[in-house]
Amino acid sequence: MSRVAEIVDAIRAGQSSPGAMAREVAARLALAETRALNAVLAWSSDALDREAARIDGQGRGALTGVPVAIKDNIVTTEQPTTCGSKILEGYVSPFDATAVVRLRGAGAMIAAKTNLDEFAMGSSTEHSAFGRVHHPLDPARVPGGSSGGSAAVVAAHVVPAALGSETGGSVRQPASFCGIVGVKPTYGRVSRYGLVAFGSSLDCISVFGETTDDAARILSVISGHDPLDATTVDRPPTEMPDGPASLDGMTIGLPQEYFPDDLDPGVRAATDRAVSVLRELGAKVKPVSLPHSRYAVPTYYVIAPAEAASNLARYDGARYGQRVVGEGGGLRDLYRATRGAGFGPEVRRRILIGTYVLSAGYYDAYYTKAQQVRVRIAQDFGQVFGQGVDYLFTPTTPTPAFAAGERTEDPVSMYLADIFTAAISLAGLPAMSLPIGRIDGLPIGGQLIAPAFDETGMLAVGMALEQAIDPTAEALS
Amino acid sequence: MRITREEVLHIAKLAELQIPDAELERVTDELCRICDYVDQLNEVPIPSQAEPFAPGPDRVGLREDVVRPTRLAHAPSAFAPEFVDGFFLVPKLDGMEEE
Amino acid sequence: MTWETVIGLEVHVQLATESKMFCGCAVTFGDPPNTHVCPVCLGLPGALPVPNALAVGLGVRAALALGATVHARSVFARKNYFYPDLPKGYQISQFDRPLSTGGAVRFTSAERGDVVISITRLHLEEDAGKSLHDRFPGKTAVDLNRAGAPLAEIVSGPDLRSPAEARAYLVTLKQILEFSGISDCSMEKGSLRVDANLSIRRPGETILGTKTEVKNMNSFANVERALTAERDRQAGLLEQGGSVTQTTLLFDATTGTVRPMRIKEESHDYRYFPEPDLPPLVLDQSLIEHQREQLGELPEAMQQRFVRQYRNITAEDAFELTLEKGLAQYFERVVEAGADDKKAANWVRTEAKSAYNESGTFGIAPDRLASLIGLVDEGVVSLQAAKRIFTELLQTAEEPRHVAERLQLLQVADTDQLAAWVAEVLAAFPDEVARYREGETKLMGFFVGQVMKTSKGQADPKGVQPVLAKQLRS
Repeated sequence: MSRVAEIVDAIRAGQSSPGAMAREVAARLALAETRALNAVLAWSSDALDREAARIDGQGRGALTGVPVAIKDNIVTTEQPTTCGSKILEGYVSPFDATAVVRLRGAGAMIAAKTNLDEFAMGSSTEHSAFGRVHHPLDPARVPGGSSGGSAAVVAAHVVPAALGSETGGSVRQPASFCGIVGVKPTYGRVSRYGLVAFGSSLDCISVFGETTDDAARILSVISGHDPLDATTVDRPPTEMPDGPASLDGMTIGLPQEYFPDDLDPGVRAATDRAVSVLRELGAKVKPVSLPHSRYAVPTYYVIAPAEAASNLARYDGARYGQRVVGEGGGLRDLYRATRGAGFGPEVRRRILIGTYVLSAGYYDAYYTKAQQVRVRIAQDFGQVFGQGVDYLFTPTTPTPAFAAGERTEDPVSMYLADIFTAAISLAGLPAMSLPIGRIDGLPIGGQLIAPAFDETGMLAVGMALEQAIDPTAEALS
Repeated sequence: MRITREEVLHIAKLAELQIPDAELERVTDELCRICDYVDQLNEVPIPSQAEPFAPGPDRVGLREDVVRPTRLAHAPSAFAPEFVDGFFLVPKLDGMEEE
Repeated sequence: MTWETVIGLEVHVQLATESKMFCGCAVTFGDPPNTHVCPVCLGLPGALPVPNALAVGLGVRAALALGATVHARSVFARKNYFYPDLPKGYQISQFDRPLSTGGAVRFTSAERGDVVISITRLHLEEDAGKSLHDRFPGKTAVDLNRAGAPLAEIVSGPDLRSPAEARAYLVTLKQILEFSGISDCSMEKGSLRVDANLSIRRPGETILGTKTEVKNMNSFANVERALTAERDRQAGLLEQGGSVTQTTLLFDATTGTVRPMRIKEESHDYRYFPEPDLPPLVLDQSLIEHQREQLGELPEAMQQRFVRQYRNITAEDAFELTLEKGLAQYFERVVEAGADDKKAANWVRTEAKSAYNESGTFGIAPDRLASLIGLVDEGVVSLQAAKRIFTELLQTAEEPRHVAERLQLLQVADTDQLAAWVAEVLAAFPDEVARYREGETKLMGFFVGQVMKTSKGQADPKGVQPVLAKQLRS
């Protein structure tokens, strides 16, 4: 049952109220267990009460009274926006992101700002300046990243839905690790106005939900063309699916590159089971190929850092954020000291790589090359979808949640966590992860990939799979 | 592709990032590893005239020339580190000329 | 030693829009600092640019006015560098796919006759804010009101051959852009800024010498002065056996010299790449055609038409009258209202232009000026009186004839009245009368002047002289 729908119905029926919801969320946020997750960077019961009062005065909306957590790289005027970084500690934005404006317009309640890898750069939420986030089922493990905080609060039932952001898989991957639904829309479907930019041609505000229905409801409110974002497409908000799809006559492709011989046996077992369920539901399943898949992560790690290096140039201590006066006392000293102290090691690495690949003498070798490989990656998907395949199904992540500290030594090993998600980001396509089983008690997700702008169809297939599969079943039993 | 320490220092300068001496070797090593990893892109044969791929609209939508400023919930003085007489203040660049 | 000077100019013009290039803030001049700012032009986290349709249109119009090839598809690019008045740490500009390439500016060079200066490219970009280095000790003060204002950058080829030509190029370019309503091109207001590149070489040499960049020139005259100083500096260097190093120099208007920027200019690596926040700029043929229509008549064509159409004006009149479109249009309306073209040209080039320069408007409707010119033609008022009436007309909506009557400036040709004034004057100056009658005929001028004085300018000078002559004879 969709928790979002439950809340909206209860309030409509007079069985609950925005005020009651506010108090309930506040209570959950205050719990020791919640605080132990370190998933939340900012919240206050006063702010929640104000939200409730505001909603009381509004008419009934699609999300009236629904508490939604917001990843702390999406700007809000009520709470600070830190992007998980010391350089923005205490910064309160003087404007709200379009997605936040739309959520509130529909009657939703902004519950909290959640922890993340600094500036969304990471796959474990271990790179936050404010401490790592703990996996709700095993505190020694990571919830995934970069949207680990938003994933954790949904998985821990603090809120039914949350906004995250994706650049290479930062919502789908934590959704897989935490056993919840994570939906990435087509690039250009949801306004990026107010999403602090990391990789501009890749960034997508994305949605976590306890169920597919929860996520779909949020997406249908925040999506749609925005005149403030020139990269949004001229299309209306996504429509809610009518219900779970009938898979009769549908063709689901399994890209062979995502099922390598050395795939983790637990992940293989879980996805095999999900594929059988898809067949039982009436779908035709067939192997396909996305030949350039292996180049997705290296391509991503040229393009995203390049755009990031440029996007993060504005953090210099001059006009907002924290300022560190340098030794020499001059302007360049200010820039270098502020940025040196304010950015963590992963962010600094990416800025350096990004600056390097754009620099004179290296631009063609790296940046131009990566953009051209990106064309090939996008064409791979285009070809497959153009040959009668309706959707693709793959594992979301190569493993379940790993232990904290396991991958922080070698940056490249961390990057490989994006191996099944990055290509989709490069191609700008919609995709979702939903829980399909457990491996030694840890959740694991399966990924659906759709053609551009077919969010509704994809969500309907997700709903069908969701209701036919037991996400708590051990994959290897 | 090997990146030298001098190159790292040069890039750090371009990016206005201070790398403490104690970290320089480690940072150089990490960057080399990342560059080695992305070097595999050279395996992919690409015709030189290929147009890059950008998702989103094919052409940029334009905005009517109307004065309609976005309202700020609070003024720059609220978030600026140093704001005097309506100006943002920063330390002077050494040897700065007024243009 | 003779040297050939080679100059190229990069001109930034602020496009005549109400709002900024990428946001809805107003483009203003002179307002209190940081009062026309928003998340986009402040470069706040999460802000995004959306281009101004009119700025694009004016950019296209400028390209057409210069005879350039407009590219239906052009791409915005980021130019990355750190500076206090560049809020995002990059400027949104255009790099390898500019709005237009090609084009030319034609004018007559004092040294070479008719010249054609090639335009390499025109592209759109946003302006930076303003940094003030001397307002607070040890600090730089930043005002971002101007950040995001829409600019067109126009780059000429290295085709200019003297500082005077550089100035003439700027005059012509301003004329073209102002004519087509693209920009008011005011160096005083900062809506036109110039950076120059200059090198010298031996006459006949085809390879270019090392060039330097000269900045901080705030008027066309100062451009000429600065480039003269730089050319002389380079010549002096080379003649002493030294060499020119590629540097940037700033012009100091008080001393008339150029000096290198004190900070060591590290060569910039701008790391240009296509702006990921903006899809390509694609122009429909209809937009380009619409801008072509908006161009109207260009200065060169109008000047030639004036020479053909207004038979009594001189070539110099035609040149001067078409320097500014407003002036040209005013002149034509005055002629349309019935004035003689030569007389209209004289009045418009002098009195009307001064009034316009002072107050920004012409102040006197064309038909009233035509009417005034007619009064002089008919001898109703003297030319002198007419100038007084003109000044008065700037303050009042009255008809010129009424003003003349009110100020008692109606020229009197009535011989009885003239005779009375003449008699009065001759009675007042008996010695001079005697001297005249003894042969000092040049005193006639003195008597005419005195009659004009006595009549408070109302006497018709043409009629005064015969009356004086008659009375002096008797």
